Amino acid sequence: MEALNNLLLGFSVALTPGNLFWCFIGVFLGTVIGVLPGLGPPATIAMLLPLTLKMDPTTAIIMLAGIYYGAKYGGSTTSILLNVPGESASVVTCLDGYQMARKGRAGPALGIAAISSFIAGTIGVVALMLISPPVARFALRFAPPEHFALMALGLTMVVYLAGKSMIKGLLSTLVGLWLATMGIDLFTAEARFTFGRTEMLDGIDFIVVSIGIFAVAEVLVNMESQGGTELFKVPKGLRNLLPTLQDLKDCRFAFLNGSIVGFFIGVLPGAGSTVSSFISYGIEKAFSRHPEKFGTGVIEGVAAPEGANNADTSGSLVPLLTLGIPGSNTTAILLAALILWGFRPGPLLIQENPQLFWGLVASMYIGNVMLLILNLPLVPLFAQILRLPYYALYPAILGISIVGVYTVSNSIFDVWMLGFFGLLGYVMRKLEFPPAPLILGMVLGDGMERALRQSLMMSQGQLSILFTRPISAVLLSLGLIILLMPLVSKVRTWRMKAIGQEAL
Amino acid sequence: MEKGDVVAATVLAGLGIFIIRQSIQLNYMSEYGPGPGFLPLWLGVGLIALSLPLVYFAIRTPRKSDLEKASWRSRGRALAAWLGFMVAIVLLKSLGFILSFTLLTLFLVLAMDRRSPLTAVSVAVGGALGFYLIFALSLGVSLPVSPWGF
Amino acid sequence: MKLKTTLLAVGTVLLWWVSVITGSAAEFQPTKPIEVVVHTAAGGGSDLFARAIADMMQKENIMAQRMQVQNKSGGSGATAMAYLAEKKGETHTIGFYTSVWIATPLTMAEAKFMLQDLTLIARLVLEPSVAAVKADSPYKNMKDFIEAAKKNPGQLKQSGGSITSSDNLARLLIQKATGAQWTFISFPSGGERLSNLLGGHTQIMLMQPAEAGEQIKAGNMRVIGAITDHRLPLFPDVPTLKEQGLDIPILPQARGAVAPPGVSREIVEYWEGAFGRLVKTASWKKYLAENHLEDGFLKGRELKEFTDQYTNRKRVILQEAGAKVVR
Repeated sequence: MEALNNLLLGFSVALTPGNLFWCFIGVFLGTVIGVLPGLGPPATIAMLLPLTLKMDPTTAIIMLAGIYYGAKYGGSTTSILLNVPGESASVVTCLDGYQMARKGRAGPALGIAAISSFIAGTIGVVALMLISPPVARFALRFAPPEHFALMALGLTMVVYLAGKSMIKGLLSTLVGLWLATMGIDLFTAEARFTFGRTEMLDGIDFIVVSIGIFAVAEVLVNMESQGGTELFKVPKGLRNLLPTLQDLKDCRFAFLNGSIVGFFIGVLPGAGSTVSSFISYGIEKAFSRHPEKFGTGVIEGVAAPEGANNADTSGSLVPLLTLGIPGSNTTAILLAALILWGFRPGPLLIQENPQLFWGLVASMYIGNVMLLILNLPLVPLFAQILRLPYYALYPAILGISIVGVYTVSNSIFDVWMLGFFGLLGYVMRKLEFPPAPLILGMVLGDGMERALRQSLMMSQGQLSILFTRPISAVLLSLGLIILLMPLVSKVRTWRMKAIGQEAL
Repeated sequence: MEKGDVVAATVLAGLGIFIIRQSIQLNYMSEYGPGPGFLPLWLGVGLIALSLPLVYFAIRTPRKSDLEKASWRSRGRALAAWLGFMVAIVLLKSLGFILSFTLLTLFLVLAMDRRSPLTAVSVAVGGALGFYLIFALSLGVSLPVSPWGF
Repeated sequence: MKLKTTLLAVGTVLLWWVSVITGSAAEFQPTKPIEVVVHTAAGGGSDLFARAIADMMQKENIMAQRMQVQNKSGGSGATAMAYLAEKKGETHTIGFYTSVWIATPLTMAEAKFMLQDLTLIARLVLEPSVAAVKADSPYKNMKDFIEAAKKNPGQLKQSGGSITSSDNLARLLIQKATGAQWTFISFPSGGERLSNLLGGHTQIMLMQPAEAGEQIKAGNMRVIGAITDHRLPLFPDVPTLKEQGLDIPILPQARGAVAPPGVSREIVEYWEGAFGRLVKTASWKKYLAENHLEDGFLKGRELKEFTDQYTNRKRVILQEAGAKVVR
């Protein structure tokens, strides 16, 4: 009941013309930077900070938050249309989203991305509103062993990303894990695999690898043949440009999956939204009735990760607003912004400034609606990009890739890496090595190794710490189950076959 | 036999050996647990271990239909495109993004796709202009610039 | 009549000409936006510091040109330093350094430049740190913690950054001085360090007063020692390490400005003047107070002495700590 009163207070704050205007500006800007690869919310928010000093803080945070979750809406656009991940979390969307576009279903893919983002985003806000304090307290119980178990759980998803050859999938994963080790070791400050270069001290940027392996490689593969003028068939008529009712029905589980997985993983400091999209995708595939179709253009394969990366933003706001702990780059800047405006982020923030918190929460509901309204009609517009003749599109994709990579750290070295990974991606495609496990390995490798070593530091070298702590034991068992599930289904199929043969 | 897989397995095994050699130079174990050399070492071992079954299966699998000639031609095209891309990257520092992009587009449309020069130029110029307007002007994104300022 | 006018005119022209000559010879004025290099990504400590200064420079009308932040993150400062070193003689570029820029080259061979390879301009602030524990922990002061650590060697844990960071170095120095022993666990982000402390997985953490202040107001944490030479205004009741009997060298986190190597004397003087004016303004004082920083304005010879002394002391501490020192 109290929540409802507070929410009404929030809406009274959020529905003022000024706040509505800046909310719109925020989500619009967010969508734009989400669409463009390389440019992300952290840099944009940091750039706009001085501007916000002249605004009312509640208005300012409404706008900045709008940029944050708006970017997650936009990130799927280039992933689906061009196989260029617009944002690191959108990498997973490339897997099925781009395949859907190739089959002429770009419209429904874009549409379901928007709809799933809306549903999961809204559910995330509801969760933020209702269960923040207990969830935050629960998240505090996550220590390195639990983080390791979570990452290990994420890694078992490779089982679902491997495709035909498990050996090749595992080899890809190993390469990805190796790429993650490059750079300075956090614990001993020793440099690993840096080849003596200063640029390699921080390792290779994930976005460079993903844009190279997905986008550039795709262009190279298509360059093999001189083709026709149009890239993919773009179906005409509005009906074919949006998801059908059947599509929506198919995604029921995905919406829920994305929301829950995204929100809870978002709450944990240090776990990024890329992790939540991978795990959500894996879970979707694990519980799907047609898992073998994933990777060929299945709509749930777009709905789940897109939902996850949106619910993730609400989740990551939980530790920020309830405890004053930033869980990601963007929330770290938001924390700095709050301090700049004179607030004291910490457990007392919500109590002392109810209009800030509830105004923000209410604005997030409104923002998600705005984004849905903004994005859905844009779907047919964006889909028209595919009408461009492919000889115009491919250079553009290469250009966008270069720009996207260069804006990350203004380094030509990164662009060289892009070229290298583009070739690698092409070779992997020709040799039928799946790219997703490599990306997964790279995303998780860092965190997993770190969490393991931290855990062992905590336990003085006893590996048992992973199994004696309840949460990590549960997560590891889940991981084991997921690893064994394909085996179980294989056994079941084998048994069915055997029974079937007996019956003959 | 599936030649491609054998080559891949060999390369990966070689990578595994390289990684192991580098990891030995790092500390395997540190104060309380694995040191920086621990994980890479096992990754190297894993790579070598998994390349073996890969070779085994590759030798055992019958080769798919004979597309050798055609596929080398198409691979050549892809590699040419890649080389064009790399040249563009080399030129980034000296010519700036806009010009390198224009040259790359001209190369891809004219040489690779054999379209008319008019098409090539219009796509190249149109694309470059688009990039300039969207990224350089509106968003103020800093891109490598040519000596002539754009 | 005509003669007088002519003489007056010529005299004025001469005067003007002389002032222009001497003026332009002695004075540098920026003619385009200044590039400010920081070693963190957007939103990181140095990035926000640079943006705050850029803002204050405009507000207090100290500079007519804008300052644009250029993020060159990577290698704990190595990338930023390399970038600045390559911009030799560049007149419109400066960088904001932190103590990390001094420490990193000492342990990392790939970091090819030291802070002294760049042109020092000024030191601007000092950031003290405090030792904090969870509010419900049994340690009321450093002595309690050290006693407990002695009784259970290795059992107590500290959240911190990398092992060459100042938190770990402080720990190693205290361990050496007292014979106590406790474990150090590295976390890359401040958020994780804090959440592990609040979750009870680690027992102590060294942090900035600003961060600690909020958690203390909420009743979650307690400060048990100030890692500084004198008590902090934010925590007047918290004794320093020295007062608690721990006489270890204190190396505070410092922030300041540098320019690329090979810039002219005029440019350095310009910046010394600009920053000198900045630190006297009300905005600056407000900024320091709000962020719990200490004014540490230092330039010229004193700055060089400070930097060299800091480098040498850090080197010694690192060696004592057993870290691999390469320079």
